[in-house]
Amino acid sequence: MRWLGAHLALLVTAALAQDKADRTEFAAPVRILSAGKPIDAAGGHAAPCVADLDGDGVRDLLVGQFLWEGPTRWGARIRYFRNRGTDKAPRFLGFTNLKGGDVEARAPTG
Amino acid sequence: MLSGGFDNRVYVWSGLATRVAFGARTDLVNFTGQPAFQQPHVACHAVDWDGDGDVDLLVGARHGEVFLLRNNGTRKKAKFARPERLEAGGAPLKTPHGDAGPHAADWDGDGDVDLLVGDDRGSVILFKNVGTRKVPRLAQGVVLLPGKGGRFVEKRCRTNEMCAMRAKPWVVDWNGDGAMDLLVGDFHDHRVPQKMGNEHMHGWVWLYLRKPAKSRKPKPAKPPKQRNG
Repeated sequence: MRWLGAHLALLVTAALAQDKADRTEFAAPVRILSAGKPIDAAGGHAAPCVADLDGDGVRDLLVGQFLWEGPTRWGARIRYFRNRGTDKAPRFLGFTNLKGGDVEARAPTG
Repeated sequence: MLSGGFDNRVYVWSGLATRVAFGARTDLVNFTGQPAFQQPHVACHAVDWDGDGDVDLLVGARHGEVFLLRNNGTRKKAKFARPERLEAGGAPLKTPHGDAGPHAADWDGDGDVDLLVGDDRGSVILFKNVGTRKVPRLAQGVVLLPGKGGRFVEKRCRTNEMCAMRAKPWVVDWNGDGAMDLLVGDFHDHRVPQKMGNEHMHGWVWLYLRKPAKSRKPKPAKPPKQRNG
């Protein structure tokens, strides 16, 4: 019985070690910078998206954001940060607000 | 370009031949009046969920549910089916604190699509796909990032519950090391009645670089002691 118990203990230990190994670990979080300052979607509700928007082979960054425009009026717009660096070392130097047609691309309030 | 809206609609701006140019906004999906969408707002992610070559739509709702709208059309001309509420671990999927922000990507590198969902308290929950590429089946969620996830940025945020909220995750290999990293957008509300403008709300984009995985091989176990006799 002690032999069986010892082997069961070994199996449980192996299973626990495997579970710990599956947990994802991250480095301490840092804020993405643009022109040396943290990207800050004034209005909050930042929603990032990575895509090569200008077709230059390098991934750019889009950030959706909330806009408060008065006590009963809210909306959202989308900032485009063109990547001036590379995919491995992105570098952003400012943004433009994306347009839809001739107007700023906005998601309106209800 | 797609975006969820405060008014329970998903909007689309069609891309034009000229890069970084879009046409006028149109409604893609309108959830107004549907029982699961009584509260604003929705967040969306377009992804080929079922591996059939076209783009489906994932929509996160205010109360924490995530819905799949399968594309029964084509990649060029989408035709979305009725919303199906996703399940995980055999039960309807719902984030603990609502405001689901879905993002689908192959998080564990096994060739299928997993689901990550941000929620109102700022956590990011991982629902691994334990099915197949074409027939996803989500396991029970595990917390990938706890609420706020270390995203305090100033003393005020340490005691203010209205900080690092409403996480919106995006999976990308940010530094090209072959491991999928995590971008997380969030919301910090520093407004007071006398100061209500946008400058008193913040939305930062946080980068969580993934550390290399530890060896999955457990150390060799010591053999049990030999008994005499």
